[in-house]
Amino acid sequence: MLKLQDIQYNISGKQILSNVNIDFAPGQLHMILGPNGSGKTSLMKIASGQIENFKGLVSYDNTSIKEITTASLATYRSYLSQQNHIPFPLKVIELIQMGRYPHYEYQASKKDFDIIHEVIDQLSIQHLQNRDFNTLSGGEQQRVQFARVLAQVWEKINGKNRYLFLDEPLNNLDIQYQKYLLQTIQKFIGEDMVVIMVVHDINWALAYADKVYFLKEGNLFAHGNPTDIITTQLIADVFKIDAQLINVPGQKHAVVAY
Amino acid sequence: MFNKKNTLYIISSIALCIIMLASIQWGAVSISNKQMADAIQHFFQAKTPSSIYEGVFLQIRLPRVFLCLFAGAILSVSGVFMQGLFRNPLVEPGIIGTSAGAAFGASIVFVLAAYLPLTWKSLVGPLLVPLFAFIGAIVATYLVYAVSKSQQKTNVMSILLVGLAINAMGLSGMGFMTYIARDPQARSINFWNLGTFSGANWQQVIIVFIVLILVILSIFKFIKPLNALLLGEEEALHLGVDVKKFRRQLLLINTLMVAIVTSFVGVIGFVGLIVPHIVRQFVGSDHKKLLPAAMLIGASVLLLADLVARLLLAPSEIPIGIITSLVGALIFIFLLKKNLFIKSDA
Repeated sequence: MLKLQDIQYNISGKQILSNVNIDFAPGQLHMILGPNGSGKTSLMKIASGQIENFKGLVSYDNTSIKEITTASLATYRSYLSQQNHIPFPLKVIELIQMGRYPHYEYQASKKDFDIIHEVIDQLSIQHLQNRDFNTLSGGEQQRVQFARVLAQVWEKINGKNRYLFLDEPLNNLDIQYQKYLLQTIQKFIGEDMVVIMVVHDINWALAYADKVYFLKEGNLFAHGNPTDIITTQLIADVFKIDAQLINVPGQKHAVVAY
Repeated sequence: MFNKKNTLYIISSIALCIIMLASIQWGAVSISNKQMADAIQHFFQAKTPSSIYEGVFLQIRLPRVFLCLFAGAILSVSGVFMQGLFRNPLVEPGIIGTSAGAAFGASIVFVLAAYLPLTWKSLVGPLLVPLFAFIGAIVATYLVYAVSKSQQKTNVMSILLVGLAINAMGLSGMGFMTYIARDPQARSINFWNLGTFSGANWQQVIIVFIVLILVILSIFKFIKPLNALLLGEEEALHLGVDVKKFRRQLLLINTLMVAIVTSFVGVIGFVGLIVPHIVRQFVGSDHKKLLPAAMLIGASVLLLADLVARLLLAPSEIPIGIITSLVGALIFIFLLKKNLFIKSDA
């Protein structure tokens, strides 16, 4: 269980987040939504341990994040950032192997290599293995980075939950791979797994999220089961647009038309 | 298995041996294989050398070759360290103030040593230039780090700009010392600034060798963090790297190794910038392969440059920095022209 209590965060006097309380339960896919600048990425960075100068309490399985070392947190928490430029040529397989870094000292074990190859198989990116990362398309880069963070928390750890943070993981992906990635995540979620992701498309939240959280101007505006709380009124309140929720025959959930 | 990487290792090892032999044999005086064998034999039998050639071999050529090897390896590794740390292919040790600081420190000694009492001079004299160069290097690098750190996270651009400023200050300080210096002192400063291995002795070799051992040991610790940093500072943090602590450690070790080498042999430009680039073309950016290869190639390149510096105008020698900067700059332009930098454009 990842608990955020009374989170307050300012950058040079400007309030970014205020009074945010969330319990992220294991075994669920949590999606964070909200307009640009509403504090989604800050919330992710605070919860994952990247931002330290916030007020409030972040705790992993009842241990405050301030008492957990960077190295040990990395064995059970991974984070996919928004795209980042890599200034040197780097092979895809070398990049994915970095996901196992927290788990070994100098030499990757056979188990590490097994995990790497399993992840590569799962995501069907065998053909990219020996390519230079910088020559890949944006979507391919996104899938490779996803493989790396997945490899980092691939195996169960005794007595600990695992945490996967994904900041806009669907960026640059075509619809086929957006769906494929979400299905992979859904398949991957075990009962010891907390997955927290930022998405923009409310339709994906309706289709895949177990819990959704809507941020507005640094506050947690609404949260709960997607089908319960996503209404035209909520979308109007948060995003200031008129939308329609349409029931499609044969679909379990409604779709949003903007 | 003859892949690209192994071929590189084999070829560069053979090249290194050949350059080593050539460096020992050729110079102002030539030394034959027999003289070398005799010298080694006499050394181990604790006999006095039978000819002047044996003395040249043992006391001049050998320490010079070893100092050159170790310095080349250390400067190249330093280049890899710095480029990795700042995630920027254009960073070299000199850019963050270390070299200019060392040059300023050394120039102070060249000028002021004349005013030291003679007894002092004979006692600590040979150590003064290295000591002041070392202090200058440390202070200048620390200034760059401290000033550019004031923002929330260390920004590559701000380090480069602050480094530029501190470099300019170091060079202007050195310029002033040269200006007030008398002619022979000014010439020493000038020579030192372009780097030379002509003063190599066994004490220096031993100190630099110890530094090299420390560097090799630290490499094992740095491989993973350096690789993780390729992805970005945030990514490295999420992969378990305490980025701030790592940056401090790496900067400290890097400053020590560059400062010590520079204090013995002067400022040798471009090796730390160009060797990592060449090696990356062969083995990629994984530091596990990059660092050992950079050591090997760096050692060979600097040894070759020193050989050229000695032979070009033999029996007099030109400062090695002239060779490394000229050839390095040419290779740099060549790589630019080949568009190898398009993807690494930071």
